[in-house]
Amino acid sequence: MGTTELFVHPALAFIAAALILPFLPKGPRKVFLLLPPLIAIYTTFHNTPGTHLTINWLGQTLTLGRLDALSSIFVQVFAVISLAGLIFALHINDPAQHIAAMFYVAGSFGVVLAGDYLTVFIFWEMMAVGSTFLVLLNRTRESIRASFRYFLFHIFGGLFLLAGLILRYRALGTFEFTTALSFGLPFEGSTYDWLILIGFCVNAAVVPFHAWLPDAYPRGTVTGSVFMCAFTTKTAVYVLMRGFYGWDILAGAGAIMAVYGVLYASMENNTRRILSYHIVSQVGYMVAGIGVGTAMTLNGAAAHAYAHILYKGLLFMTTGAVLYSTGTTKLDELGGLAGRLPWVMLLYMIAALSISGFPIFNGFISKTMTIAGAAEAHQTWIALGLELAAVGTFISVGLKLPYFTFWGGKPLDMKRELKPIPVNMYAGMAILATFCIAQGLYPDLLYRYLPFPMTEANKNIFIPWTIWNVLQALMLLGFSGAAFYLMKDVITPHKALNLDFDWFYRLAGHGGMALLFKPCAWFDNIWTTVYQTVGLKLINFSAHFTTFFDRWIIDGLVDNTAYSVGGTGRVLAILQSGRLQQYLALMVIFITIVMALVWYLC
Amino acid sequence: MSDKQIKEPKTTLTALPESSAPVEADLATLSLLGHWLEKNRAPEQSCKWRTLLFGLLGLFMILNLFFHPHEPHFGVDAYPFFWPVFGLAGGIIMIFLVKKIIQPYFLARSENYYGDN
Repeated sequence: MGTTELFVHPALAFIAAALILPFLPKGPRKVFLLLPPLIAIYTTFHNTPGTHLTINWLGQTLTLGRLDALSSIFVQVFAVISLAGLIFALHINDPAQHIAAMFYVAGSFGVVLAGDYLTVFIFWEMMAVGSTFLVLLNRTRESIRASFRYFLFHIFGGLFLLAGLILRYRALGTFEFTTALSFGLPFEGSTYDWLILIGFCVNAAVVPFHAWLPDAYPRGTVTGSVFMCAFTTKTAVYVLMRGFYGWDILAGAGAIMAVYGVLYASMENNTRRILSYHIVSQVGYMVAGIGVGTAMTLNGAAAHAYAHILYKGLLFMTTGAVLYSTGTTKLDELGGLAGRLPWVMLLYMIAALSISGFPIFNGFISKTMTIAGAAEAHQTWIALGLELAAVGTFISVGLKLPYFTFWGGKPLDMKRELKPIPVNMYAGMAILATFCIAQGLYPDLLYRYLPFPMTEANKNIFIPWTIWNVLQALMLLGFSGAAFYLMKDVITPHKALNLDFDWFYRLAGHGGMALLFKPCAWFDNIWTTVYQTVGLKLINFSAHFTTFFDRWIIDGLVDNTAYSVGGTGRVLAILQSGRLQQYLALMVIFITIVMALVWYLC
Repeated sequence: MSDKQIKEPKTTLTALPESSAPVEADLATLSLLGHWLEKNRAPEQSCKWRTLLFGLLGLFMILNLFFHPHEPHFGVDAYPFFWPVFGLAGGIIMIFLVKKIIQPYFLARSENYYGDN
């Protein structure tokens, strides 16, 4: 007898919870909310690796549970962030937000555990719908419009994925989700590979498909954006790792993303938009690592995805807490909050130093691995671009954002009304802060789960805690700090909207509408003219004819029948005089006429 | 006054007063950590922080004379002070380019440019 295999799909727990939630009263609902993430964490450590839940549907074999070294690390971090995110959102009394989050998280688990493209697509769309509601449910005019744009863009990305997987099925006869290289195809890939890649790149926010992210995430609900920053881009990183590692184009695209996001973040005024641009930047590190495609850079991408989910979740939680408390995310309206929101500032700084790759925090052990891996693979320019992005990251997230929110510029203002932050929000933040520090101090907490074993035998060793690595990080960040100090007056944020690629999306949208509307308007004009000149006259003629027919034919028939009946009645009335002699005389005349006729005819 | 001037968005950024040292009565209402942070962020304390920053930077540069990478990634990073120059110059050039050229001349529009708000 072998060991008993166990596999519980974490998505099932979230979907079931989402269906039950609306029927629960407020109290039990809060306890029940934490059940799915706890089940997910349990399954992370107890599910048996292998292929599970294969079902036949419409003649296809769908694999819902492919658990291996790559998928399990993503399942694990998704379970952790879903628990922290739901604790952070525990005070929300809007079940719709929880339901949207549950479906969104379920979709992410579904994608990561999918063994075929069809299953990927189904859960991919589930994520798009769930996350759209997390923006929509902020219930402002701004967020409703943003959610619509977000949904349209993800449908656009989803259509690329769908077209790619259908063409791939026609060419290969299978939906199996394997790497694009494993079929022995040319390195450049086929048309369907490119279509699938574009679909994935939309969700990974690869420049120029990234502008949906800084458009939508800052407009999500306080708690919803915490989920969004963790799942969409990271599931895309997972599918890129699974399907497209080693594609050179991704290495360059990743480096561009890393620098591009940083440049935009350094000019932004909205805290959550700064962080959104830093998602683009940080996912750039992962995409670059996937593009370089060595064991170390892939490990680096996975490690950075894990670390990023934790510190980015914490960044969105802390800026969300500031928004919850003050009602704004605009740096020019914030300032001087250190004294009144000290714990939020402290927790924010843990996340900010993590994203900056400061020693003792988890960014230090993950970011350096990707950069070192790229450099060792002789991708010097990619590695330099990533180092430059690290400078910009520390300046905007590590210094600019906290300086203008908590520290400088404004005196202590006790008159400013601050809404008290619920304990559960602090608890959610504290959980993630603990993880950020624990992984930074003890890298094996993260490294042991990486997809490629880190052993001397396969020359895949990376030790972050060396004197040089620490000194290099301190020099890079310290002198970036000096640059901020010297340029503080220049980088002071102010109100502005910065044009990005969404200008082109909107142009394309307006162009599409014009293409649709102009022929319709032209046809409508012609039709109106035809209708006015011919149609109306026809209708007038028809009306006149109908009137004539009604008056002279219908009415005439009815009226004349009436007149005839009336006339006959009058004649009969005259004949019915009631005098017997007249009746007898008429009878004699009648009989005489009949007899005459009979005589004549015979 | 022209219409254009009237439509200019008003900034809510208030100028830092001459002396922004917190009032003791206000400080007393803060938590222990809040109190400490508030005292340390006062403009009078900025000299202390500046000395600490530049002291640490000097220390890192001295250490860089003795510690080098075993396997330089880029060649030039084997030389001392490469990373201090990279961080400082990279940061200053980036901030200058973005805030003085790219944003004001190419990208900045009014906040409600798309009519979303």
